[in-house]
Amino acid sequence: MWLEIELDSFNVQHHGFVENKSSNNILYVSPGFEHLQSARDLIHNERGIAIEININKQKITFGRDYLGQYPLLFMHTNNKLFLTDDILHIDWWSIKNDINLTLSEEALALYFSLGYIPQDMTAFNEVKSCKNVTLYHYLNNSITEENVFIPIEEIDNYHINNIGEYIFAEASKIANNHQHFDIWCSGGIDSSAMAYCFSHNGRSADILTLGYDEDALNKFGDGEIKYAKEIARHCQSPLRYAQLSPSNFIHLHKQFTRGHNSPVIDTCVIAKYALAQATLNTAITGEGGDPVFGGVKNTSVLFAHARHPRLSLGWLYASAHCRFFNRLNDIFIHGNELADYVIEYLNKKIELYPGELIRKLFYLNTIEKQGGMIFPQAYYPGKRYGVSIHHPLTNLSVYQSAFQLEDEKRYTYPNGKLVLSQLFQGKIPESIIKRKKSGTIIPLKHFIENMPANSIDVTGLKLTGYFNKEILEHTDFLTGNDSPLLFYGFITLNKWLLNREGRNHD
Amino acid sequence: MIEVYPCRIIITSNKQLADDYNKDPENALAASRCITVEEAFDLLEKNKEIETIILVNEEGEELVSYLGEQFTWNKQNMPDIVRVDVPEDHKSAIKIIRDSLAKSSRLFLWADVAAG
Repeated sequence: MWLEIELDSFNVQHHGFVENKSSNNILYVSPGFEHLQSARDLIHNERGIAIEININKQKITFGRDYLGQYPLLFMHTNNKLFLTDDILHIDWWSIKNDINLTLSEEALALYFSLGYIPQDMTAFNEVKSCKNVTLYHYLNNSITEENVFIPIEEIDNYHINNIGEYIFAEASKIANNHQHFDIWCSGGIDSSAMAYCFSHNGRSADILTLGYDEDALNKFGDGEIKYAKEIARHCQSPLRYAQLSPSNFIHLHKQFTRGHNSPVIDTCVIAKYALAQATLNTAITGEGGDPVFGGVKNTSVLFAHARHPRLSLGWLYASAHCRFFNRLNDIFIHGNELADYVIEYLNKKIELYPGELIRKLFYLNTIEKQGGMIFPQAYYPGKRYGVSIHHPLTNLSVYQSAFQLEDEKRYTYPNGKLVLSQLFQGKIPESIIKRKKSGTIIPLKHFIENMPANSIDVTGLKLTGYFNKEILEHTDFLTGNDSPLLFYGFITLNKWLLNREGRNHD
Repeated sequence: MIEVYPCRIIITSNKQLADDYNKDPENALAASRCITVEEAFDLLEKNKEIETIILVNEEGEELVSYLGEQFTWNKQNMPDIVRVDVPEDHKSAIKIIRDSLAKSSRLFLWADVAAG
């Protein structure tokens, strides 16, 4: 989908949007959003984007659904506004309009600190990514943002079963509209809960989990596969594997760096491309389990804040991502300044949300991280492989319901997912509810070792003038011995940027 | 105010090593802390959930017996227990402790392969 508006005449060209004209306004929406009356209705909806044009007032309002399940990128020049969900359209449009895209050093600092580029920005200064919980207004040749975030009040004695009702209702709604489901299942509690929801009451679902090549299995064991087998047995569902072999890893990395809206260091993105590739029609994920119910970084940030109360929360939150915030000085020529920028950026984000630290963390993970990384990492693989992907644990009603529950019923130091544990007790195996947390970890070094030499390239990054030459030429780094993940972060960024220049669209 | 405690504990009576380890906020971000055997017993007797226990230079073996009895030696339910020998040089000692902690907190044999 893309839409171009000439700001002098308000002439519109578009592709893929549904046009809905009323007396004063024209509303362009993504398919499925035809019921919207105005762009403001985005606040109460999910899975879509909308652009509203009022020609009389020469005003444009646009944005993504409240939680940001669908992405929207835009570029604003002196005489045009261009909006799209697709980075390839940005490539095409910027070349067509002779726009020279410049790299954002700040965005790259956040990329190496958090593992992804947050919503609001992209790798390029000229391209913006719409934030969720935000409406954008164009008027008099400038664009302003309206924050439409609505804080949710805790309700005394709100019961966990209320959240359960919303989860089961969402599952039923999705189930009624589709015939068959592939459950993207790691064997963790979130995806196993979804396996339960979609394999009962006459529903038919396959369990789809990541599979690895013999070499990886022999060297490193079978990771989480035993849990996926267990939940498949329990639900009497067929188990299928999305193969992540070295050769498929290279193929998927190519797809990801070509069509994803931004580079991402977290390797779970590649896993999502593998799962989408193996999905038949419709996938169900357990996304939302961590941010809405778990709070991935809650324990580390709460403990570190209690022990070191003078340290800024921005520093703590950046460090808690366990990416390369503490190595910005090695990575960038202006590492010190960029570290200050990242701290200040995150301090502001944390200040934005109301409540005690634990509630702020829940909001940050649910709004910022989901909108910036988690939703796009399903949207783009789904788009690439033509499958629809649903996240019942983080739909709008479940999110609102979860935040109405008192925080301590969702998280009691050091344990999260109290809601899911209670709701699915007796419905999924105890061993899955009580298993230790791992996150989806792929044998990255194994894949890197099997990448052909021509895939391992950081030449383009050397030319940017942003990076310390020492790290890009350091032997340990070039062989991936320094940190495979850092190495992966560099080659992913390099390849993603090459694709943007239209030189790598093979 | 949420009550917090270290979920990953490093058992040592070496106060200087403990101070050096505990003053680094990156170690706090791992919810880890150097404590004495007595402090560890205090946490366990209050039923605090401990994920990993690192026994430094053979200190704290009595914790293992205590936990074994508590959890009837069911390793799935017990904290991970890691034994390390560290040199006198605190910088090297802390590196060894951190590496052990990083490995023990990763599951399965994917450890050493780098988390995504």
